[in-house]
Order: sequence, then C-alpha cells, then structure tokens
Amino acid sequence: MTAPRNPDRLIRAFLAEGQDELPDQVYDAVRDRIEQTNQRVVIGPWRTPFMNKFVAIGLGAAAVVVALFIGAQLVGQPTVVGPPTETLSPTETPAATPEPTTRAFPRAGPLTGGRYSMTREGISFSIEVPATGWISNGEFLISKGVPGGEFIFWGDTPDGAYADPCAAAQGPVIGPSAAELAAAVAAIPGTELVSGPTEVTVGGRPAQYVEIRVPEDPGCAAEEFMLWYDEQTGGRWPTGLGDTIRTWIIEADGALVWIDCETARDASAATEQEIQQMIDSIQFE
Amino acid sequence: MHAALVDRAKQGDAEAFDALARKVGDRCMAIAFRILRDADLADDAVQAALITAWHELRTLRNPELFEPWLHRILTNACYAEARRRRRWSEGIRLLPVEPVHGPDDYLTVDDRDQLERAFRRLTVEQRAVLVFHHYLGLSLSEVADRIGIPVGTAKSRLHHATRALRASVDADARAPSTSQERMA
Repeated sequence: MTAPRNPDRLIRAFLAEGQDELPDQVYDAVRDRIEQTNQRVVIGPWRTPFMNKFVAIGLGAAAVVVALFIGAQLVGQPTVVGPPTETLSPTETPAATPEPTTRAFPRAGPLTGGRYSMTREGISFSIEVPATGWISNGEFLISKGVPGGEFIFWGDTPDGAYADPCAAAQGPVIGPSAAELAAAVAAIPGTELVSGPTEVTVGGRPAQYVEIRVPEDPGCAAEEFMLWYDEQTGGRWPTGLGDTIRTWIIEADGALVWIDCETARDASAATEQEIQQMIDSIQFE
Repeated sequence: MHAALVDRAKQGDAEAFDALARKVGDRCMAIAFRILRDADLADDAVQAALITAWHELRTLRNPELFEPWLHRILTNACYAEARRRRRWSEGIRLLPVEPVHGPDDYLTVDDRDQLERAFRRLTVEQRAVLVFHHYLGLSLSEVADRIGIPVGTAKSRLHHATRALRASVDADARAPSTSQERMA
C-alpha cells in the first residue's frame, strides 16, 4: 500500500519543472530595440500605468506631497498650438528664469523666483513662483521634488470622474460647466468631501473650488484609485492615500482652466502657503 | 541588488540595461514559461516586458524594487501574449503536451499529463497567481502586490486554481488505468 500523495507538493513539483533560460537572441533583440527607443521622460518619481497626462507622482518615503495640476479645456475656441514642449534630461538641469514672452510652459529645469508666463491650449496666463526650489518639467508639471516632495503639474481639463475609483470604472462625461465638473469631483465615491464646491475668484475670473481627501484605506493602491479622467489622455490618481486634493476650475475667456493641488497629511504650513500664494498670483493676459 | 545598474539605466545607459536584463532574464523566462506553458510565447512576453521596462524605467522610484516592478510588467505581457494566442488559435485543437523534464521524481508521467492539461484549462490570471505563490514562494499579499490586484482577488484566484489542479490529481488517483490505457 502506498502513502497518499500530497496534491500541493505535486503542484509545486510540477511548477518547478520547465524552461528556465532566456535565449540569447531575446537579449539581442531587446538590446537592438532599446537603442532605438527613447525612455519616457519624467521629472520626479512618477508612476504611469498608461499613456497619461494626469500623471500621479509618488514620493517613496517623503513626508510631504503637494501637487498642483493645471489644465485648460476650450469651449468653442480653436486650439492654439504652442511651441514643442521641452524635456528634462536627468543629467541636465539648467536654471530657467522668468521670461517676458509667453511660452507654452516654463522651460524644463529649476525655476528661479519670479513670474512665469505660459499658454495652455490657447489661454495665456502667468504665475508667480517663489524662489524656493521649484522645478519645471517643461511640459505640464512644476515640482519641488524629493526630499521636499512638493509638486505642481498640469494638463487637460477632465471629461468626467470615476464612478468606482478602485475598479477604474468611469462615470459619464460631465460638463462642460465648471459647476458640473466641481460637483463631479465632490461626489467621487470613497473620497471625503472636505469643502465646496464653492464659488471663488482666481486671477479675476470666476471659479469653482472643491477640496476632497483621498481615503487612507480604499481597498486598492493609490495608483489604482482613479479620480477623474480625460477621454483622450487617461485618468488621474493620487500620489498617496490620505492626501488632500484641492481643485480650482476657472472660467476664463470661454474656456476652463483646471488647477489641482495635492498635499500630504503632514505637509508643512510653509508649503501650503506657497501653493496658495501661487494660486493668488495667477494673472490672465 | 541591482540598484546601481538600474540607476545607470535610468540615465539612458543601454549597456547597463543590457547587463541588468541578463541578470533578471532567466528568472523572467521561468515565470513567463510557467504562466504561458509555451517557450515561444514566453520569449515574446519577456522581450516585450524588458522593452517596456526600458521605456518606463524613469518612472520607477526605488531602484531596489526593480525586479518586483518588472514582474508586474511581465505578468501583463503574459496576459497580452495569452490573449494574442487565443485570438489566432481559436478552433485549433490543442497540441500534444511537450514533455518537460525536471528533478522531482515525485511526479509521474501521468501526474505531469494531468496537471499540464488542468493547468492549461485555468485562466492566465489564475496561472499567474499559482506561479507567483507556489513557484516563487510569495505570500498572498506579496502576490497581490506583485501582480497589482487586491489580496481578496489573489486569494480567490488561488483557491479556484488550486482546487482545479487538486481535482485533476485526485481524479487521476482514483482512475484504475493509466493515460496510455485510456488513449488506447
């Protein structure tokens, strides 16, 4: 009589067998391809599971997160294409200085303190950046980077919010009014509504303000907790669980300008103050 | 373990990435082969995963986490390869299982045959959980993190996959004849 056989051991033995060596031609093919393939250019430690302008930024062990996201959605206006965006080489960090002419975005690199003009999808405005170590990615993000962990970034105004953030289930397209978008942000399932939507003024333009807090334990990782989406470019997720996200949706010359700012639970008062100062400094041209 | 190479590769150093790939490639192949049960598909999945990893490398925050991060990319590449194969192999009969040779005499030829067939009936997502849990020896929470799914989902997939494989083994144990006899 033989002893009963252990099914788990059989499964493990079965899985222990098989091919364990990657053929040399695969390494060669990879080498050929990477020499023809540029790496995605990022500034800061981001995660981007899919093509995405709503880039979430992660901070590892950094204690403070501040993110400011600005976008623009034209309403019945032709798109004005700006100059090609610049990229930041990881070994190249030229200091950008305030520029008198309007650019699509501040040049990539560390920003000296001062006023920076930019055009986002046809809307020109400027912002006063403090001389405290902010860095532009030349495209849509201004950050302080690790270890401070403060960030600003911007892209396109969302089309709607997620109906089930952990399942990445999109809700219906919202808008196009600022009030409708703000209401959608305020109602994202699982988030805590801290304040708003409230009518405010930014740069002399009417705006909607709403502040939400990302849950600390939503049942999925931060990068899987989807907040809002743009149908063309993807979705936005928070940098960290428990973070606070403040959003301003500004009505400017027939368009919407979207600003959002993410702060970690232990963000410093000074950082919060700088963010607010930058919001208050916005001037539309 | 490979942090220095990862750092250099993040600066665009293709040489460093090539060296990195050669350090982790065999392990990726082992994982991909066990998920896909097909050497050619596994080659393609690993190749796709490594190229994606190169492209996305600057989004990796902690170089120490390169391999877990790569394994998640690899898992997705395996899913894509499995879907690709399903599309063009629909309606084609399953090819005979190729014999694989391993060190464990605990498995009989019949065991392998039964397990191989049962394994191929699992979804590729279930196979991935089995491989990361039983082959790499990761805990369920580690598997969930590695694959990028909730722990509950990992647990459910493992439960169903293990049950299916156990059933195939048990059925074989109860059967009075060998597979050769059944085929005759």
